[in-house]
Amino acid sequence: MKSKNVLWVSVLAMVTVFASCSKDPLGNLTAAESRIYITDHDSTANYSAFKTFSISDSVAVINDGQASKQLNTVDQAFINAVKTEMQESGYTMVNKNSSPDVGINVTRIFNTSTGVISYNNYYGNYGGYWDPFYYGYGGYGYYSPYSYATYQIREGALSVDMLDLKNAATANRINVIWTGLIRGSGIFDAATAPNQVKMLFDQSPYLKSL
Amino acid sequence: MKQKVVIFMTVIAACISITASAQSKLKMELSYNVSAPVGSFKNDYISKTSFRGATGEISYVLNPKFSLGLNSGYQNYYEKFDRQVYKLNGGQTVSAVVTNSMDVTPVLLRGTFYPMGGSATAIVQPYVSAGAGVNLVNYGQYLGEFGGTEGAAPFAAQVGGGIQIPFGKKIPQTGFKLGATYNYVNYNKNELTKLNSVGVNAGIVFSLK
Repeated sequence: MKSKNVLWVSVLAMVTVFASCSKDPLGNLTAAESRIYITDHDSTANYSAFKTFSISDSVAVINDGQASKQLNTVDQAFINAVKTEMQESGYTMVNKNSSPDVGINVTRIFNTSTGVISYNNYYGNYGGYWDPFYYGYGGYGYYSPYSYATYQIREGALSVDMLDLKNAATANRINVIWTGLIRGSGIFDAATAPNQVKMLFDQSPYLKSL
Repeated sequence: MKQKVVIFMTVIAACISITASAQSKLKMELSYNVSAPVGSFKNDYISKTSFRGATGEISYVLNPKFSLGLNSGYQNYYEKFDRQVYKLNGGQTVSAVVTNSMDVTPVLLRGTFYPMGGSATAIVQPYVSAGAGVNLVNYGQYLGEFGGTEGAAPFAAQVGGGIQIPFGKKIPQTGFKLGATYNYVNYNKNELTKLNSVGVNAGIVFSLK
């Protein structure tokens, strides 16, 4: 009988020790490492044929489908960073009234998702990890009638889009010929904005005006 | 044919009743396990050796030379790759820090053979083992903080060998154990072909009851 107890205690101890030893993929990421940079483009577009660009003076904010225009210090930092990268790629910035070849839009996108999570009465085993004796009521059990909780996740992303204005009249629409999307932790930060935008341009070597 | 079965059953019953009169029939093994991925597991997914693992086995001693047990455990493999640019289908390009993880819990029926099991004087008892069953695997892949896990239970087989250094009189039931295993796991998903690994383990064996 005793050896059976030893057995279960050792098995439980092992499971606890080794489950806590395992590496948590999300817990081992810094904010910078958590970010992903996604770019996509129109492979038929000839990027070197474009010479001039214009960038919007504010950022479009799409908050759960509702759009507005905003400009805070972070937005300005992203706009400036995009300007710098475009100029380094050989494009010339012009006023939006001087018929630029491409237009650049910077957008902040927020999506809020809500849900309900069921905990299946975790208080049933609560005495095991938080002995009621702690509160001076040893021997009593816990009772909780609540078995669910609601949660809300608000996720933000930043996108930089390049619009083909040069061929808009012939195409009868404004085609988005390049898009860069940044997702992850701490993306709305003026200090890291230049580096984040650089990532998008670095992985898109075809964005060159020659 | 029937006669053979009857004889076979009688022999088995005799073996069991003989060992039943011996000191103990059940033993347990607890080991720390280090595991290195090999093949596609190493080349396509995680190249780092895992130092986060353990195995346990409860086995029935059929006779001094042979025991049959249920083997299980836990091993966590993990590797974080530096930021890289990945080309996806179409024109899409993603720059991300990719994290690969794999949790493996084997559930194996394993037999262990001690060629010198009858000798009470041996200081070192060599053994070989073979097992088969399933591995409960939890595949995880994250691009930055985005991703998830996916479970599966593929067929698994294992061969192993090592030494046992007995202490006390209950040879071969009690002692230190040091060994190595080769693990075959028939997992062919997520661009992986097999989840094979080589393990080195150290632990103790003791009698139950």
